[in-house]
Amino acid sequence: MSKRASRVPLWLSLAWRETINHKWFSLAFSLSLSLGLSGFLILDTFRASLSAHLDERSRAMLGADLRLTAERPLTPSEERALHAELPKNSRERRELSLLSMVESQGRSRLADIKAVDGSYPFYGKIGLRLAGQVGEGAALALLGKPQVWVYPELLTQLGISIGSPLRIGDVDFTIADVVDRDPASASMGFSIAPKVFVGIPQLERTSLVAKGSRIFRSWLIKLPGEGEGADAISRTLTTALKASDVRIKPHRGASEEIYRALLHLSDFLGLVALVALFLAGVGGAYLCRSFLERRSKDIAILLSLGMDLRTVRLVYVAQLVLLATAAAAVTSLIATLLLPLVPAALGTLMPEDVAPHLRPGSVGLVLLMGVGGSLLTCLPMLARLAGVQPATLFQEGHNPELTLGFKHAAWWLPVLVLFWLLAVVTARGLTLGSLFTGIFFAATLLFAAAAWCLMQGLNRLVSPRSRLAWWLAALGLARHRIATMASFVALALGALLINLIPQIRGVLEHELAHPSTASLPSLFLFDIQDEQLDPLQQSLHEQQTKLSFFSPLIRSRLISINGTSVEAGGSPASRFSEETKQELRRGYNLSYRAALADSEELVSGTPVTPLYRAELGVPAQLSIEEKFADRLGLHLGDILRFDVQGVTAEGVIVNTRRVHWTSFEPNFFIEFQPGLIDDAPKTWVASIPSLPQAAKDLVQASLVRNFSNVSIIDVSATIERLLGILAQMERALAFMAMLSLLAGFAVVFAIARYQSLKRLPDITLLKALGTNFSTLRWTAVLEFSILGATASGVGAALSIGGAFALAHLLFDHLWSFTWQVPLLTTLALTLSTTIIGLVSVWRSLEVSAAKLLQEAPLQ
Amino acid sequence: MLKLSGLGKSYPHPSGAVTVLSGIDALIEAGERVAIIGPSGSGKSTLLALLSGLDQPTSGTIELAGKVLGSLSERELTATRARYLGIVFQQFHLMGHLSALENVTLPLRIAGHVEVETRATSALQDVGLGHRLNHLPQQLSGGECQRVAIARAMVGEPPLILADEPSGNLDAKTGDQVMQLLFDLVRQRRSTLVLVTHNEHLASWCDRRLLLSGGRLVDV
Repeated sequence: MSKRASRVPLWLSLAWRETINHKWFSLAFSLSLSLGLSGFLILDTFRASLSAHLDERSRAMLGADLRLTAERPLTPSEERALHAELPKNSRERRELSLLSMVESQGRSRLADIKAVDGSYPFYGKIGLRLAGQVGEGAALALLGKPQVWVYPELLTQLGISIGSPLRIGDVDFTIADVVDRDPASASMGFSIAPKVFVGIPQLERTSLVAKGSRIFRSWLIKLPGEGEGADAISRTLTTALKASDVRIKPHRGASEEIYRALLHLSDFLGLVALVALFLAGVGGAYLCRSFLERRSKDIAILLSLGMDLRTVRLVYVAQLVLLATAAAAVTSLIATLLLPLVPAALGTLMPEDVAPHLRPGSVGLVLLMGVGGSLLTCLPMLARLAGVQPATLFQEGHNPELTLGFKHAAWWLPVLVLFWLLAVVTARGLTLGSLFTGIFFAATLLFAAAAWCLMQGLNRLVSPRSRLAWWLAALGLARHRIATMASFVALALGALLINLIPQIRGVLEHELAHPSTASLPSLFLFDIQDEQLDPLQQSLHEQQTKLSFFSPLIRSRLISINGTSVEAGGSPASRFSEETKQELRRGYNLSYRAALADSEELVSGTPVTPLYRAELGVPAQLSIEEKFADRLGLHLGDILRFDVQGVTAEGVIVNTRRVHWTSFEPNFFIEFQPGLIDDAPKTWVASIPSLPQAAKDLVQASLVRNFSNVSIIDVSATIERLLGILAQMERALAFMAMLSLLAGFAVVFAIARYQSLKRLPDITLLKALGTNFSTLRWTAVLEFSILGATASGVGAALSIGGAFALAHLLFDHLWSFTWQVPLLTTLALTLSTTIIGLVSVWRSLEVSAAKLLQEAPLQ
Repeated sequence: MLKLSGLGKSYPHPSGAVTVLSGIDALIEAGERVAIIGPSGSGKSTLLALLSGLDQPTSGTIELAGKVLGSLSERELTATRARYLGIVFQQFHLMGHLSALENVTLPLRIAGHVEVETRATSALQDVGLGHRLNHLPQQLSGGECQRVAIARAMVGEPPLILADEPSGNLDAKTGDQVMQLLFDLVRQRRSTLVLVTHNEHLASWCDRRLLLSGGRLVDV
């Protein structure tokens, strides 16, 4: 009686045996795939956490999802329009802020009064010295009692402490606590005076909120859910309110500079993650091709025994699914182990109350990407199984071949489409994703052409008199056309990607670069009068410090651009959007400077000349900050007319400049050349370099005593926090560049291993013919170093163009060419390709030439 | 030319060492043409690997042109192989990316010769392939490939030619033609030939036949 057939289908049984019996391939394929997937998963999780952190930070800075600000109360119709446009379950709170003198124990200082209601703060936590970190509802204590929270520098400047009285307007308050950390202060915008927090009902008692007072009123909106749609609601409200003097700002616009830098980092991380995955895919494809080539004889046997091609394909599809599942499991394990380390590594970049963890959805995504990606990557090889001819089994000594040539290029299309889709999703934009993919297509064609040139060149370079190792290496490369071209393209693509990372990193670092800590300011001074400059400098000199970066500040109002009035209602103003009109109507702080500061660089135009000469009859020269010019649509040659406290001042834009914001120096959007507005009523702003706490307290006390009108802001804590974030960002970049390099080397190893297996018969033959080990080793060294040097050189050269394009698209044209990075990476890649190639060839070099006498072909 | 003394070869196996060759003694004189015959699995290929210095015996010695192969360093062994040996494989083993001419120049290049193309061309003309110099192996027939392999084995004028079933991959007629060519060249150059085959007809062309059976070599 015959046994019952096994319940396990034959194809699955064969797939399982293929997986188990070819451990090297199974291990290498799974590890290569899991390396790429791990990189992608960790970076993607990090990116998601960072994105959440950015949202949280920007909300904390703004204090809401959406903020409306005006210098007047909203009219009843505006109130109705506001509530009509807000989604159901939106919450609203109010803030008032104004500058006012405060007084204690006979001393008075200018303070930035911030009146809040009981819901403060909607987002983030305020760090109080006594109460600790407190969230929403913390300000309830300020509503019913005349109590205030103050910034620490106010205590120093007034020589008071917690519990001391503080008079604001007509009311005596008590200092209940000190604000050590304000969630809104991480932005680069500094208030011109220390903040004092007070409850709105208590502020109303002070009689400061009177008609004619300059008070900024804010309506802060917390949207339901995760606060999505703030941008869209902001646009809708702008239209609905029709009030150009009401500024509406979604949270993403808060803290523009740091948000932009973090967003760039986030975009960059996404592309790096994709690079790691792509490189893993290239490695996987090579391993799969190498494996199926070696299995072609068994495939021919299965076909000759009557198994149909569909079932044969099913065997290898099942094997790939098994391996991809294993890789996804390994990836999840790696990610589970590594993710808890991410907050420690990235510190302040991670949200305080969010620990990155592996979500079930992420595991599913990794499984889907692993299985789908593997199948699509290996699709060309699976398709070519149809090319295996069982008839060749009758030819002794012939191995049925699994050829893969240029005519099969169409089979790569699905995986390229997948890559494109991933790029679009990762880059969060069709244009950037398509450009990224387009660069790949173009680069592949370019690299193939370069490989062809290399092969032609090598063919011509060798001569009958060439040394044996060189002759073998050159002809080995020149004659194995498809293998050389494939290796060259893969290596060059790897080199392109690996080069892009440090170059883009360089661009980011350039943006994040900051002066040494000693040169950073610790105090900002405002409202310094003309006549106080010299005595102030003298006083600081006596205290062994100095005044830095002092600049004149002149209040003004923009009247017209090229003769077109910026006032509302006038027809000439119709070319400006409502948002631009709002910006144009605000007051401007002008300054004048004969030369650019160290933190500035010329973007376009010419430097201003040192002195304005009225007798020439031409307007004075203006230098405009680059992004300010972009925002308002200003160009070189535009003529701006200002009202400087009743006097008209006209200037022509002669240059735009970029301000390096991490310099933490006082900078201005608009700077005149000296000579025109120098005599206008002005004050000075300046900074005092980094000082120890005790010295800083003494300097503040002295300034308050001798220059009571000068406002002093302690910026040390804010700058320290920002520098901490920058350091973490740099660490994150270095970590990810390293991860991509590892993925790149895995590809190099897979290619080199594949090539060494292909060359095994040739190597053993040369040994049988008497070639010594040293010559064979030199041949391998030459072959891999020629391949590595040319491919990585061409890849590095193209990366310069790629980095240029990405810098322009992602990083606001921040582009600077450095030859060191391409040169160093080319050298490093050549060396590593040669070493990795030699290591992978070593096994073939050690195969006994006696194997040539065996009847089965070498494989 | 070739002296085998107490030659033995065994391979380790979990169930105990497998002895392939045992206590082989033989002397092959210069210019002699010797056929080694035996059934499949008798160890013919193992013996050839030992004779060519591509494998090491477990016991005994092989003396080639007065040099004991086992006493040579790896470098000396490869140099000896390049100087004294020409090998013709059953599966041709031509390098696929090199032309016929380039394949034939290989032994000369390995031996450090400079003027390689003239001699290689001459060798190819000797085997009747003067018109196929620049063809790649895949552009040649099986018989032509084996003739290139013979030219490669003979071009350095080694005193000893080892041939492993040179006609095994060819049809009878082509096989005979190729073998005739090999024998003619060996005769002309007074080389020693060791031919491994299971073809009695080819073996009969040799001066002496040695039967490999049960790990031992006996004159027949």
